[in-house]
Amino acid sequence: MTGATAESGSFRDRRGRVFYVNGRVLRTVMPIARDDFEYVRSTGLIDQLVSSGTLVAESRVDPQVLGDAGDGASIVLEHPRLEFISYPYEWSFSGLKAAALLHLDLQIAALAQGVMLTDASAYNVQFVGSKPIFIDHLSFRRYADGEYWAAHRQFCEQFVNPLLLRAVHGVPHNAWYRGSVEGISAEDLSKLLPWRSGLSWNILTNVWMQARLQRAAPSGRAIERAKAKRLPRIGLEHILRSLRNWIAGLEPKSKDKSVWQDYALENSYSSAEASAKRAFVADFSAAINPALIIDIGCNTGDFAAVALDNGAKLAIGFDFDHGALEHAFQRSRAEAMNFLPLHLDAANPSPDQGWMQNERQGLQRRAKGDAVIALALAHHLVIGKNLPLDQVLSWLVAIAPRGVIEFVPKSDPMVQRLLQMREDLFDDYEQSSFEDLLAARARIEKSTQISASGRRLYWFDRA
Amino acid sequence: MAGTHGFYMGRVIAVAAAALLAAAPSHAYLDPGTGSIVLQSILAGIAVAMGLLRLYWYRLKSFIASLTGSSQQPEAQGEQEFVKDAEITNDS
Repeated sequence: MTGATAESGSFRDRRGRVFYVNGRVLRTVMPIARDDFEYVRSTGLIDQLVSSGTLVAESRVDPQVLGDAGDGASIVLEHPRLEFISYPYEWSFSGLKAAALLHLDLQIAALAQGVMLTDASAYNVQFVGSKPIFIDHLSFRRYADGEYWAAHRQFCEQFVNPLLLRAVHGVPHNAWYRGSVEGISAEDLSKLLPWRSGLSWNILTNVWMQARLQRAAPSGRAIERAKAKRLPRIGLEHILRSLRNWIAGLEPKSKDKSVWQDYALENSYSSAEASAKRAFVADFSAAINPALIIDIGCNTGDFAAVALDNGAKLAIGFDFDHGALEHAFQRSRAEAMNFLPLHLDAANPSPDQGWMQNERQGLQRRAKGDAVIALALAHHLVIGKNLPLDQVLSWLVAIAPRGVIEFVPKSDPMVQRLLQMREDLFDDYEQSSFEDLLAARARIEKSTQISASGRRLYWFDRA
Repeated sequence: MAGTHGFYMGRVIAVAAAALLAAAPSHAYLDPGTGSIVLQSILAGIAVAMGLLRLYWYRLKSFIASLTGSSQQPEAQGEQEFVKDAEITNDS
């Protein structure tokens, strides 16, 4: 009757869960969570975090709004809906680092008010533009004097270890994280780290020692005895602060020069071409005013910035290249853009996965915008990855009802470079077949040649 | 006072050593992992020990200051708070 749908990723915590009703986001607080809930609100912590923009807002609503789905909830909260949900395996290094620091800052602020976070799941952090924000209001509970930080291991697995993979080895966390979903264990990471990394006190303790101590499984009696032991609050604060200082200083190893980072400088664009492209995207964005524009192949975010300057409210960018993503994320932060760049291998987007293959949604279900731009992308997919052109166009056109797609002809130096080392099997990769295939999927509103080599932009509309 | 600090130091080491045997807290919604808990007890022991060293350092400084006649108040308040926090280790 109420049409409440339970969020498929919200089931682990029996103290409440998230539902959607007619586009509204509602959260139940079950009777077992009520005392903690009221205590935490009485400290003023929640108001403090919401007003600083680090926690999504909450308001109490009539529990009847959920009908039977409420299942005897004591309290029902409503939250503003986030425009886009992303996952840690899609974040850049700097994105994951920002989320880690947010988590520690919240835990430190909470502890000062006698409040503890029950877990350290990276999935409890989302992004508004490049700003991380915490979304799980039931993670806060009363701190018991002397308790251990139960979430320390999870914090290491979901934040610290993936960051170290890139900081120590230069290997991006994304593929491994996507495969393991709950992060990277200290046991696994400790087998990979070079012995000299143990000279770092933080790596020695948080990775090597933790893995070693975890392997040395104690007896049941020893566990019972230890249950009575306590962690002095001063020790907990010290652990949190030293982790924070350490993580704040982590950087990707050797800032490896990326293929695309210097793209805008090195590629075969003339500046006239770049400005023609900018003008086209600006016109498109101004005409559509998209609430959400998706930029596939965003590189360092130049055209997302043009779209945002011309009427788009929020841009979600995707790129394959980790160096470009880093650059894009830092630019978004520095310029306070409403732009979130995420990692994507277009030939293998994030799948539906986790429990029941429904806990974390695939990209296809999430990446639905009002507009899409795919500039200098299609040739990489068709020629670089052997994807059929008709399927590439179907995929792009499905992302949003309106968009801009660039066609780069074979004669272009960039395509020539892709074909340099391989046989040209792409007879159908021609402007005329591109146009026919696109026209079969949407109306072509406008097309403009933007380079002497024959690059063209196509504005499509299937609405 | 020096005797009291010696007592605390002894307790800190004893607690850290006992916790080394294993642990699992009672409030956990997650399985915290024995490795993490034992590690925390060690790190906390080190933090407390460092705090105690800092205390002795302040006392030494104020002792030297009293010898040279300058009467700068060492961080007495910090000392009291520290001792209060460290007392938690006595509750086990």
